[in-house]
Amino acid sequence: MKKLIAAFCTAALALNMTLTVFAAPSIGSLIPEAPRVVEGEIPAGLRLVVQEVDTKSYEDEAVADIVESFNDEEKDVTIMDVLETLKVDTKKVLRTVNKKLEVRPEEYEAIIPFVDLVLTDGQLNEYEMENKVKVTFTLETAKELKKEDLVIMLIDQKKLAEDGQQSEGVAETETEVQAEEMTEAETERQSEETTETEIRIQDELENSKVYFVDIEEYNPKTGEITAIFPVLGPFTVLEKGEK
Amino acid sequence: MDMAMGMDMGRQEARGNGRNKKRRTEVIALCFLLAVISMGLGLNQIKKQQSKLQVTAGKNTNPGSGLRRITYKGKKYQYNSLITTILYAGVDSTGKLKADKKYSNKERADSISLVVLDKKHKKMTIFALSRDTMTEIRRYSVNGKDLGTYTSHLGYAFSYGDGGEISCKNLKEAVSNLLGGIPINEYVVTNQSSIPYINQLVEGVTVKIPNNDLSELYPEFQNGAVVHLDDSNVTDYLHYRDTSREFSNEGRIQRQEAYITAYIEKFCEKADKDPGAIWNRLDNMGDYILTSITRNKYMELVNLLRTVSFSDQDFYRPTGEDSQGELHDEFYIDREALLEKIVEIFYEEL
Repeated sequence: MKKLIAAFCTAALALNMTLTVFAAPSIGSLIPEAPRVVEGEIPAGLRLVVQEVDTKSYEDEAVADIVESFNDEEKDVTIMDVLETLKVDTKKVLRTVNKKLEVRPEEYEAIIPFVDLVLTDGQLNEYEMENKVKVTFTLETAKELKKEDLVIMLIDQKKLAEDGQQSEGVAETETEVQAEEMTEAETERQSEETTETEIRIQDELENSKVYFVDIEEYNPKTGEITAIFPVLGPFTVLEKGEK
Repeated sequence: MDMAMGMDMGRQEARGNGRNKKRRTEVIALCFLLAVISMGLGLNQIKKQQSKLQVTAGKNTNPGSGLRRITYKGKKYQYNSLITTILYAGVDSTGKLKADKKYSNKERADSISLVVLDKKHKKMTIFALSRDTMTEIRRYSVNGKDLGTYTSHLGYAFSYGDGGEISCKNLKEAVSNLLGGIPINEYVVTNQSSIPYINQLVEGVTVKIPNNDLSELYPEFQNGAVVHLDDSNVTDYLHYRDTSREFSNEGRIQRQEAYITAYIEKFCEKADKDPGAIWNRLDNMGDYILTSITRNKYMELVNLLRTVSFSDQDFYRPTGEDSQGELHDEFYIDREALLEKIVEIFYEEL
């Protein structure tokens, strides 16, 4: 049957060959483009890029496997599957890193495959970075959405010391437990208004595999997103849709 | 219905013609298209000899109640239901064309055209649309959830789908909406990997190299040299250009012109001798085409093609304005002019 219509395609090719030469410079892909560091220090000789996932460079094989599966065009793997694989308890109340947003993952859809935020010298990728980094990038698929509906899901590719046990997202219940454990530290710094939150978050970050990162700034016209990444690694952008 | 036609006319004003160029290439495309039509007619004759096909031609198209009758500039018009439309897209990819389980981030539609076959007026028109045309397109999540529409490049409409039927239908919807909701009956999509197969249809083409653009890549491709194009070099010959060099498009156009001219000549030669051989070779292209056209539909279209006329005046490229977007070029169609063309092509005054 297909050969019967192929003649039309020959015509189409003729058009294709002529029309492409009139085209403007290439439109981009549907993954983040033009990343730039807004705040944070990048080690000399390296630059921060957003690129296709390099799962072979991940420390944690479980992360590598599930990220590969999610990005596999032939597999029907969802964000919920990713979280389950990474042992994030989605029954808990999950919050974004700075606590601004409560995240119910089942309400969200990934609008891009996983991509890496990573340091590179052009040849080798480096996921270790001492401090968090504030990054701006442009995402076509994020245009004309609402800031409050967007969140970045970031995975730490490092093999955690506690691996083998349940990995945690930034969960509210976990936060409470950790806060109790840090009573001494908190007492010492009672006069500093913001410190408590910072400690809790820092502790959570050190024990988390998955982060839901807040969108700091968002331009719906251009799809430009600014966010503070606590670690480097694979991330996707989620959009809250209808339940 | 007043002249809304589902389009927000006047939102973007006419500001000149940003794409008024390369008429000569269009004419060559036209010639090639006609050659293909001829091929279709030849194939039709073969098939008629082989078997008696039951083909129902000229089925009416129902454009939906909202489009059947319109009022434009004070006059009433009725949709011409004897029009058949075929969407063509050339996508920026290589390899087999197939649907994936995952949606989004697929290849872009680089060239987009709508072939309009008007049985009533025995006329064919081709709308050549820029991939950078800013219009309403539907986006999907990675797992295929419909996230509604937004304004973006027309070429992305294919990218948001599954790379197969959903992508094609998404592009169909976007083009239909761009053109005021007119129905699009069929689609045909090819990619870069289709080129060798088309070249193989005539067992390769011999061309006189028109410039030195490819001389570094292929030393034998010196200006004036006579070279046979086969699977190993035809794609580069037709597609490659040095984007870092200004006006490299011009060189590519020259090469394409030389190719098409030589192709038509070779094709006619082959078809005269043994049209069945070309027919058989078409079978190899199966994995490199996405289409909704069935065998019966094809035969119907071939019959229709026999009746229509086409000239370079029927090759319509919407006018509008090029604009530098945040990261990429954007093209804003002159919607008033487009609307006038839509009424002219798809409607009849009552």
